Amino acid sequence: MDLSKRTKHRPHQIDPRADAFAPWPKNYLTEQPLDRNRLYDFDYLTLGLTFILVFLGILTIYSATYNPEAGSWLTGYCRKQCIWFGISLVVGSGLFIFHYNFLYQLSYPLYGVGLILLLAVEVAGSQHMGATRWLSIGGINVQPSEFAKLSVILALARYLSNRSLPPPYNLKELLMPIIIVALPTILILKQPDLGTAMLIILISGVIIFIAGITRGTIVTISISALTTAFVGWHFLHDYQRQRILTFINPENDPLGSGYHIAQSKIAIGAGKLFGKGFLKGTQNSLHFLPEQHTDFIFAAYAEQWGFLGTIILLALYFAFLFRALNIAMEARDSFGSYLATGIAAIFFWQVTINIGMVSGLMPVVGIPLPLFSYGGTSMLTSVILISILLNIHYRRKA
Amino acid sequence: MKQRTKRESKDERRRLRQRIGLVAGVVVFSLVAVVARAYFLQVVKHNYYLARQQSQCNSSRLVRYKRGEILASDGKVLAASIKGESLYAEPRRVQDKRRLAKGLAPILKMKVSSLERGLRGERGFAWLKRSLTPGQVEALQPWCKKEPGLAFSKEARRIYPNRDLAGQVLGFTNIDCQGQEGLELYYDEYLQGRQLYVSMERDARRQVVESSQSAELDHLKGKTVYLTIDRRLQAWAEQELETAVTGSRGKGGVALVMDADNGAVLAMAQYPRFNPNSKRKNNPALWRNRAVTDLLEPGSTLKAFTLVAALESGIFKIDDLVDCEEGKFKVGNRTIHDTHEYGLLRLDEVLKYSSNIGCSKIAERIGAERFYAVLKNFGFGSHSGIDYPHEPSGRLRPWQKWREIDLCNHSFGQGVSMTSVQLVAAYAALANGGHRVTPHLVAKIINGAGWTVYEPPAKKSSRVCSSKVAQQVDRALALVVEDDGTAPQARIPGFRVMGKTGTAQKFDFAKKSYSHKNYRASFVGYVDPPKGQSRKIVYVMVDEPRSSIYGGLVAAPAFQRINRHLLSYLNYASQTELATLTIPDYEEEEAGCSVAENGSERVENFTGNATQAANVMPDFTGRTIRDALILIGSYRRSVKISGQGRIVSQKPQPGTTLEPGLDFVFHLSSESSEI
Repeated sequence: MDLSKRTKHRPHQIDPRADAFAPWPKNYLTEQPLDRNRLYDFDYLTLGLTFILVFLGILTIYSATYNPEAGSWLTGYCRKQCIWFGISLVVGSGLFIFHYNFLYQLSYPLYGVGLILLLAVEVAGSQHMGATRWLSIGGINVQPSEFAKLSVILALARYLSNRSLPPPYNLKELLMPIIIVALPTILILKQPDLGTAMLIILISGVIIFIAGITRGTIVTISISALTTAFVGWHFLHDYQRQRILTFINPENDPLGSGYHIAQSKIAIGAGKLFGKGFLKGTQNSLHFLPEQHTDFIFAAYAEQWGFLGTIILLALYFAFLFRALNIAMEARDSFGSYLATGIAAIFFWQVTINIGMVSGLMPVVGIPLPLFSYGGTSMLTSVILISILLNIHYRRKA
Repeated sequence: MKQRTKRESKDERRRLRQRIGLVAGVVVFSLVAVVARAYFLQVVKHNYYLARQQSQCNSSRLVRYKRGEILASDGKVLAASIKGESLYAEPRRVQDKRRLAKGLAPILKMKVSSLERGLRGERGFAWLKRSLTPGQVEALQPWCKKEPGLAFSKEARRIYPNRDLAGQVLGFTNIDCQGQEGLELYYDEYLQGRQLYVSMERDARRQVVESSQSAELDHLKGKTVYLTIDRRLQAWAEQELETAVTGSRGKGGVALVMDADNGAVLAMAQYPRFNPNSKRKNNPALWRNRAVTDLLEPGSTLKAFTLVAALESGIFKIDDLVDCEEGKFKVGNRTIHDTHEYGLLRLDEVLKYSSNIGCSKIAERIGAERFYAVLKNFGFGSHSGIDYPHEPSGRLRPWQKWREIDLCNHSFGQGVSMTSVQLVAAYAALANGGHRVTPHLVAKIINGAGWTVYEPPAKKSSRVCSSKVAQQVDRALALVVEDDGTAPQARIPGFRVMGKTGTAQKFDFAKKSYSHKNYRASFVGYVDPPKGQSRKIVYVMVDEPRSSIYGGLVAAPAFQRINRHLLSYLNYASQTELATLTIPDYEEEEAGCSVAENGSERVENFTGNATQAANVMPDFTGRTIRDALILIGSYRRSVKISGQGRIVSQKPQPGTTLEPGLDFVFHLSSESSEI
């Protein structure tokens, strides 16, 4: 890398046509998003993949919570998931109308709101399964950590795209981004929600990497991360340590903490090439599989559809991820690029960690499979993220 | 607001793309890793995980399918299996064991100490009482609600809706519904439901998941056994036998009705009776079906076969004369006596007057070998082959071992022994014209699909005497019921009755000689039915009668009355021709056992005493609907009955004055019945 350029020549800062691409386009509200001439700009592929994944997810939720005695299709979890998807579509479409630069303007305020919500959880959150993660607002339980993910990538993308210095950055220059990431992460760790905290660090890592960092920084961060891991071990909760230990050898405790992984591995393994068929999975119908409609839904899916089904599902997810990275490459500005990369990273890490966890490659952390697992907040967040992604793609030229 | 740069240099853009491409590489890498992992789990290790899955959710359980029913020839239930409630406890969950034991003892009719023993320790399971009555279940409900360690379990149990009707014939099962005695034992193989290990799924809580596959399969259930026993004839035979035994102050008795053509037993009665529903209370001696299992010396009833031997040998003709020595006849150092003093008697008169001396002389003339051959041919000294457990072979020593006195004794039925069934089977051969028959109690066995899986062996055609001889003996037997014969009381006006009395001295094993006090009075015979119908052998034996010892006086009247029922029942004679008698009613042990289809018929037949019938509504709670129907019969305008089993509530309330035209409502507990 040419270091001389770094101090002397800053072409990205001096642009004669800068005014033409004002950060706050005058037409961002009046612009017609569904201009007939721009229909070809819309990313139908991503939208289509989203619909297919959600549909498969609802089918699997139906089969995982299937009860022959209960009435029709659209009852229970299945119905709730459909309703949440509908709500998410409305919210996502509403967001699509605005130019995504609107988010650029709102990123810091949103980040502030995110922090306040996390603090509110700390103060007045509701306890559920030993962790304080939920905030009850008007009867609806929301998970501020989900929102924090979005606000962190927005703040990061804005900060990094707005730097006067050109990349790659060294550790000193990364101080501010690290603070941006660290504040919500610490609050989330206190809940405690190791999974989400880890997720935020990983996502932020991808964004910062994309923005460009020096090799020395990478080495320094790696070393300090390892050191933190050793030190952090002593600060982990017992159940978290237990999870890591049983991850290393689940057979140690097949009825206790290893039970989750052992049962989901059995479910996946029992699927074989073509699976047992829809509704034929005994592992979930006989309640061996815990959380079979939320975090462990992949096991229920894999038992019914086999290796072939697994490949199809993974193909769908990774097609979606490559599409998201493509959008990041083609984005109009670096804010869009960073944002799209951040969104891609959220999906990538969630999918990888979830499937890795369910298939016994990674420790059990409570991370749902986006678009697939049952859960309103998760569904809403995922659809909003996709809406932003589509937004970045749609406005890649203007 | 700080101005934001919009377009980075081309170089900057290119680097960004490179880095995104690097990220895409990481994505590809993790895709490969996840796919490889899925391949490993789902293809490479599939068998391992499938086996683990099956081992954790598949298990098997021993299932015993329902035991088959025993039906009378008219298709009515004699023995059935129902699901009854049993009470069990989880002793480790019971807090105050003493209090519970004290509370349950009066309901279960058990001792407090034995209940406490059942509740002792920290066990997870203990039967407290099996086969509860519906009333007990009702009374235990509040206890079960209060006490978490107390619960019911449904168990199959065997019930005999007709109580002691044919009790000994049916036998009984143990608590696990396995045949122990009688037909339940003999046909256990057919009756028993299959025992199978049925595989079933268990969920993560180890609870059995009911699947449609575990539905009861007809071919796994026990088969239905149809008896040749006719319920009405059986009831009549039992009633008349009881009259005969109690009337003569006897110890007990046996009555048999058998079809002479095929050996089908139509009634096999015994007194004292035995109720298999409550076998524990009865004396085990009562369990024995004496008609099949008890050997007895037949006495004079054997003389008919002496006559057959005489005629078959060709040495005698029916009108040959025999000198009866005026009542005393010396054989070796023993003297044979007759009850009356006779001079010269025709052969058929020997039978008519039942002369021992006449028979001895006949036997001496034809010789031991030929006499033995005839007796053996008629089935004496061997098994009759009846389909009933524990049948002994009769006792008839080979003729080579006979002394002279043995030959004479055998000729009038001493020194040989046989079961009642064997004697009746021999008479059946005589009555049907000379063919041996195999007695049997089962007409057919039908499996769940309605196929006949067992039928008694076809009629044996081996001829044991010529039909001419049989007819001559018939004529001789017909003389017995004449006015001066030994059994005029067996006569039925308008019918030709043939039979033979027997008054056998019982052998006193203590004194090693024949008793002069204890006799067995018997009568065996048959009535000529209309042409084309088979003869029905009727046999009545009273053990140790006291009022009189003679078969003609003790057994013959019962024979006559059973035949009258028989003739009217088979429509051989009109109802008016013969005195009609009602079928004795057999109240069910409990309402849970009642068989719905014959309920109404039985109520109509009921002639019992409804002594409670004041003008006040009694409390019927816990009683059968039949009791109620009988009592309110005269008031009945409309009766509404709901449920099955015993009455749990009623309208009008107990104590209400009854008026004609009242409406009655009864609710029965639906807990118990399920046949």
